[in-house]
Amino acid sequence: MRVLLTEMRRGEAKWAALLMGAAGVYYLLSGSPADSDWIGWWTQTSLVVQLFAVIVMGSVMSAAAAWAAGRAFRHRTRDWADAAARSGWAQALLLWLAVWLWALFAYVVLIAVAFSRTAQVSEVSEPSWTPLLLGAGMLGLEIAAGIAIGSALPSRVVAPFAGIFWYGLFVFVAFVPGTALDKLFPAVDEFWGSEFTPNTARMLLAVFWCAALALLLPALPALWRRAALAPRPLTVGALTAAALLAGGTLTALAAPAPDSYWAVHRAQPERPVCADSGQTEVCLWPQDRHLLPRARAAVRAVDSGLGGLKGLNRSFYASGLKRPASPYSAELSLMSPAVTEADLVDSMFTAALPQPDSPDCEPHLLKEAGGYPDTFLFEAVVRGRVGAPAEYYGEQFGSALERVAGAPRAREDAWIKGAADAIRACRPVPELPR
Amino acid sequence: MTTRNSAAAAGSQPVAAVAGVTVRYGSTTALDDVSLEFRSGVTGLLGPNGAGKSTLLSVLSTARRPNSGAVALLGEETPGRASRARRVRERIGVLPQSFGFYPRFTVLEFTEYAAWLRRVPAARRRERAREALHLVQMEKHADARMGALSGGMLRRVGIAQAMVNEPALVLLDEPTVGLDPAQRVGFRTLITELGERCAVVMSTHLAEDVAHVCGRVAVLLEGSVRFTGTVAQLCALPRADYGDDGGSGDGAVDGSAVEAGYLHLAGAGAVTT
Repeated sequence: MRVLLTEMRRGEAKWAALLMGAAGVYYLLSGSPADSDWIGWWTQTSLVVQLFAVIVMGSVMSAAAAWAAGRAFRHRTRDWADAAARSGWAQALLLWLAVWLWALFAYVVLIAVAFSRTAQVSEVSEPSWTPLLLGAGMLGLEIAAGIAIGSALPSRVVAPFAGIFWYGLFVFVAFVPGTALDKLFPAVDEFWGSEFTPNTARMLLAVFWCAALALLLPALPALWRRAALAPRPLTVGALTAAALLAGGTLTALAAPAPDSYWAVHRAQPERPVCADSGQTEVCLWPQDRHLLPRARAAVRAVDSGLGGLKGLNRSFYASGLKRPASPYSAELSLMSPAVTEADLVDSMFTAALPQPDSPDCEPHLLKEAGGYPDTFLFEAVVRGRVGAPAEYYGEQFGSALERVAGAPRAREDAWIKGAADAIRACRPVPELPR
Repeated sequence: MTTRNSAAAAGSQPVAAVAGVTVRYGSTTALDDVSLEFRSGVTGLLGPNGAGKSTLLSVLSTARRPNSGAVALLGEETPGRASRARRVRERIGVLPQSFGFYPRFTVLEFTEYAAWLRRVPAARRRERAREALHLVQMEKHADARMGALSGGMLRRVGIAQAMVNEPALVLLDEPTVGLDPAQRVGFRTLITELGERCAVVMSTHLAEDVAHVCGRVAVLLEGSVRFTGTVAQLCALPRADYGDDGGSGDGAVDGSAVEAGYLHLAGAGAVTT
């Protein structure tokens, strides 16, 4: 234990961890809850911290580990250390542990900062630990690779390449998806919202894979350095088998398309949290109950805008929530855990527009609207009705819009109702009022 | 001058022995059919650069496996299984010729790290590190950074780290190289004291070191053993050629006498020391 503390105190990894901790804290504090896609969602918060830790901090700490492992060459202690009773593997593992503990220390600080930000927004406390565990495992693996590289290659310039290797790998995975690399070296860069929860089994399996490989990698240089005592073959064999088994299983598992490889749908809540005016209803995941006051205000705004219009969707359910069988319910997409009332209203207006029941429905082009799909005109009419801005597609389109909006209110309402029903049934909208 | 260890060395059991050991680096033969025994006290390995001294020490430290021949260390036949080498290494102390160190470690931390490397039990590491530093009179500098030490102090820490596991066999490779004359004198005293605790094998190309420290000496030339015996016997070699009774070891033993014996073996003028 004391030797480990000495390694931690005297090694260079602490500076890298300090730098990464500072950079990470700045990154996490610089985001504003108003436009953040994670502050307020616990799982998304964990994903963001994990992503920074694996891609940025992991790459730098891997370089730091390679530098630390290269000290035997820089300080000419290789012969002395190789003649020791402690195997080369044990020596490498001590270094690995020292660097990893510094990385974990910085990681914990980042987690604390990120969680405190989410706790300021969210009214529930549901920290998601498995993505963080995955991040810790990947950190360990990246550092182990750095140790192996630094031990094997006697050069002062090799350390940065350990970091460049990892960063390059993640960039490659981002640009060339579909390889097994994103399963074996996960840096989960996805947007899950409230409807998804981590696939705990897969993430734990990945952590196991990372741990097995992280323990194995530092043994490799010691295997070909004959002066150092070789690792015990049985231990190396067991770790190799464990890594192969875990890695093989990870690559064999498939993502349940179109969902994420690392996520599963959250179980339906017993009671979603809803705001209901009698005419308009919006339901959210219980995790998003902090949005309920804004949802109530948004419902009032929608009621005020749409009034008693028939045919539009008036029942909105957050993505992933089970909707009632009514044809007038729609999915409500929330892209931020701190969505504003205005954005919520806009999302509800968009969700109020009917969609064809059949996914194979082809658009019906409307000659009177300049040849644009009739759904464009329908949306413009509804948005004009509630005073929301709409797209403008030219003079002919404007004339068509005026024909509907300029008609008496009863005729306009009837056209909207008829058009909504037609769009759902994949039919052309009714003739425009004259 | 007489050596302190000669009497003790003569009657003790061998701590280490090599028999018919040959080591090759590619086409170069570093050790050629070397057979030697090492007993308690200080044994010198004398020879010029490239004679095979460091290679022999690396064989004795189990860091290098010979191409052929047998090695017995501390009652264990080596090379063999890793567990056997591990047991042997736990009881060996090594000071390499180019003694590297971690400059940011303190003296105590570095010595303690050496104790960890030699598998000293955790509960005894700090105690053993302090004892080893006391042995080399470096306990006052325990909290100094390694990078701030003088060459002589570093050599003392080098001895301390080699002694930290209370070894039965200590291997010192050119331990006095780079020291000034005053430091060298002090260092020889230290090594002589070590020889009273355990078996010490010291490689050197300095005849003065052998004369002042060693009880027994082996002369290595071009990978072969050319002499083995007491220092007095080595000193007596030239006189023996002139009809003196050199084998008794009663003659003067000093650096020049050792050098004369050494040069006699090497062929006058063939080797510079």
